[in-house]
Amino acid sequence: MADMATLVIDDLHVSIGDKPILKGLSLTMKQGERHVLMGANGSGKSTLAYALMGHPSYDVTSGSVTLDGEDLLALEPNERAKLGLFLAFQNPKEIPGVSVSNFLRQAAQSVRGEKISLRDFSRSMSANMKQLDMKPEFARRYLNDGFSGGERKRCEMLQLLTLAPRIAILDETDSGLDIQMRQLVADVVLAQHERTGFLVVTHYEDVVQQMQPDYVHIMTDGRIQMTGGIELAERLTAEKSWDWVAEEA
Amino acid sequence: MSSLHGFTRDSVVALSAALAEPDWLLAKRLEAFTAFEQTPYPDTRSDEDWRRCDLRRIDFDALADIATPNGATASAVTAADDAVGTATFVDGTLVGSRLNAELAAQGVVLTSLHQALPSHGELIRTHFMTHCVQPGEGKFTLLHAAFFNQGLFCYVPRGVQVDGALLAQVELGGGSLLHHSLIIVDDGARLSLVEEYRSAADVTGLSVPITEIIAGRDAQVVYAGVQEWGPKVYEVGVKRVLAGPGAQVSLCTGNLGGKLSKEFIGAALAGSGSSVDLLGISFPAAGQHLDQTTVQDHRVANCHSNLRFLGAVGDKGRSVFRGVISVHPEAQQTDAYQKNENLLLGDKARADSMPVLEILADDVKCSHGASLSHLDNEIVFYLMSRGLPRGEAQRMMVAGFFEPVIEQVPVESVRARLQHAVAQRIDNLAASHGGLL
Ligand SMILES: Nc1ncnc2c1ncn2[C@@H]1O[C@H](COP(=O)(O)OP(=O)(O)OP(=O)(O)O)[C@@H](O)[C@H]1O
Ligand SMILES: [Mg+2]
Repeated sequence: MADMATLVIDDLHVSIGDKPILKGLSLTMKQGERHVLMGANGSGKSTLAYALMGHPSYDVTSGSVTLDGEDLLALEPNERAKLGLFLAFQNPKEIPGVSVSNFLRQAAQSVRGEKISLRDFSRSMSANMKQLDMKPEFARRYLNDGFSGGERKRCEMLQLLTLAPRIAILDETDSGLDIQMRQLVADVVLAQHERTGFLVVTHYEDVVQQMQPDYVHIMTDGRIQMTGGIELAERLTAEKSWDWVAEEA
Repeated sequence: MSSLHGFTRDSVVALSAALAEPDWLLAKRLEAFTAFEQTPYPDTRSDEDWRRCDLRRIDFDALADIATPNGATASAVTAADDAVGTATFVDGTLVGSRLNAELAAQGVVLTSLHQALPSHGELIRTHFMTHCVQPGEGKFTLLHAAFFNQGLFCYVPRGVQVDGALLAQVELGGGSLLHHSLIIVDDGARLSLVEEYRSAADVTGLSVPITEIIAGRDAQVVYAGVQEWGPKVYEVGVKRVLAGPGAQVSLCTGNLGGKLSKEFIGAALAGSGSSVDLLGISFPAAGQHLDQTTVQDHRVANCHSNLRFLGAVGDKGRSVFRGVISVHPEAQQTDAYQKNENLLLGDKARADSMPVLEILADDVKCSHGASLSHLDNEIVFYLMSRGLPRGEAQRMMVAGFFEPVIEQVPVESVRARLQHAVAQRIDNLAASHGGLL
C-alpha cells in the first residue's frame, strides 16, 4: 500500500545526562508490521521508546528518526502524537483529578484536530472499553489513580484504541497482566494490525508467540544486535542468557 | 439613597435611617461603632492572625464610600436556570429575587435582611451577629456591625427540604461593601446555597462581608461562597457556620479574586454529633495575596470536622493558610482533620501553611498535613504524548489539582459553578502570561 507510514530510525545515539545509552540504533518499520524488541534489563529499550516520543530528559546526540520522511526529532511530543506515534508506557503515571473519559476525549480531539461530540465519543469509548473487558465505571475514575498494575496497562491499551495511531510502541505492556489479559492485548494488537505498526517490547517468549511478529530484534548495550523471526525468542528461552548474542552478532 | 462618605457616626445614623431600621438595630450599630472607634487596626507584626497580611496596603479612608445603589441593574448576573431561587445584590441593595413558589409556600425565605425585618424580625434579632459571629471579635467585625448593607436573609423552616440550590449574587460597583448573609436552616431542614461575589475589573473597592450560617438540629446544609472580585478589590471577611446537634454541613469556599483578601472561615461545632466538612480552593495569580485562617472549633463532645484546602499559586502570587483546630476540654471523642495542599506555578509563587492545634481534651483524633508541589514534568510529558499541547496539559493538571475537593461538594450545580470559576481563572492566567508557567 502506498500510504503505509514508515518509521525510520537511523544510527540513533541517545544520552541521559552525559551517560550514553543508545549507541547507534537503526530500525525501520512500517504500518501494518509487527516487530518485537527483546533485550537485557537496562539495555535501552525504554530509552528508545522515550526518545522516540520526545521525552525532554533524553538527549539525541546524533542520528535521525523520520516518520514518512518527516523529522520526528524536531517535533514536540504532542506533534509526534498527532503524526500518529503512540507509546504505551512501561510505568504509566497517575493523574489525580483528571478523569479517564475527560482526558481521553481531549486527547482524541487534539490528535484529530477536531471537536468530537460527547455522544460520539461516549459511544466509541464504550465499545473500546468493552473490547478490553473494562467496567464502565473506569471512565469516571481519575487516570491511573489507585489502578492496579494490570488496570494501568489496560488503560494504556484503551488510549491506544482511542487514538488509533499509525505506529505504536508497547513497552512491556504484558508485564503485570494475567494470562487472560495478555491474550486480550495480543488479540487487540492482531486486530489492529492493518492500521497500526507495532513495536512490542517484551521479555517473554509466550508473548512473542501470541503476537506472531514479522520481526524479532535482540538488543544489548544500546544497539540492535540481531534481527530474525520467532526462533530468536525460542533460542533465548533455551539459552537463558544473553551471552550467545554477543558471540554470534 | 445618597452617598455616605467616611466611617463616621453620622454615616451610621444616615445609613440606618435610609434603611428604615428599627431602633434596636440602630442601637446595635452605634454600640459597634463606639467600640470600632476605640479599637486599633490589627497589628500585623504581633497579631498571629494577621502576621503575613499587610494591611498598610489598604487605604481605608479613600475606600470609605459606603456602597449605595446607583440605579444600575446587575450586570454580572448570569442566568441561573438551575437555581430554584436567586437573590441579586448590587452595591448593597437587593435588586431582584425570585423563589420557587412551592418553596415560598412552605415558608422558605430568600430576600434581604431589611425586607425580612417586618416578618422575621424576632428571628433576625435572635441570630444576627449574636452567637455565630459577634461584633466584638475584632476591628473588622465591629466595622461590619456598624456599617453593614442590606444583606441576604435566607430561612428554611423546620423540616423543609430544599431540593436544588439557591443562588445569591453580590456585585460591587465601587467603594465599600459590607455584605451580610444570615442563613438559618431550622431543625431537620435541608438547604444548598451558593453565594457569588463579583466586581468588574476596573472597580476599586473594599469588601468586609460576613456570612453566618445557623444549622439547627439535624439540619443538612451545603454552602458555597465563590469570591471572584476584580483585581483592585481589598477584602476582610468572615464565613462561619454554627452547627447544632446532629447537623451535617459542607462549607465550601472558592477564594479566587481580589488584590488582598483575608478570610476567616470557621465551623463552630456546638451541638453533639454535628459534622462539618470544610472545603476550600484558592488561586492567587501575580500580585494577589489571598490569606485564609480557618477554625475548626470543637465546643462539645462527639463531633467531626474535616478540612481540605487546596491552593494553586500563580507566579508572583501569594497564598497564606493558617489552620486552627481548637478542641475544648469537654469536647471528648472529637474527630478533626486538616489538610492544606499547595501547587506552585512558577519560581516566584509563594505559599505559607501553618497548622495550629489547641487541643484541651484527651480522647480525640486529630491530624493535620500540608504539602507543596510543582507541576510534575513527567505528567506533562505523559499528557503531551497523548496529543495535548503543553499549555493544555498544564491546564488539565491545574484543573485536576482542584478536582478532589470540588468532587466532594455534594451538589452537582455547586460543583459545576466551582469548576467554571477555576476554569476561568486558568484561562485568565494563561492569557495574561502566555502560559501557566
Ligand atoms: N533518568 C535516568 N537517569 C540515569 N540513568 C537512567 C535514567 N533512565 C534510565 N537510565 C539508565 O539507562 C539505561 C537504560 O535504561 P532503560 O530503561 O532504557 O532500560 P530497558 O532496556 O528498558 O530495561 P528494562 O528491561 O529493565 O525495562 C539503564 O542503565 C538505566 O539505569
Ligand atoms: Mg524498560
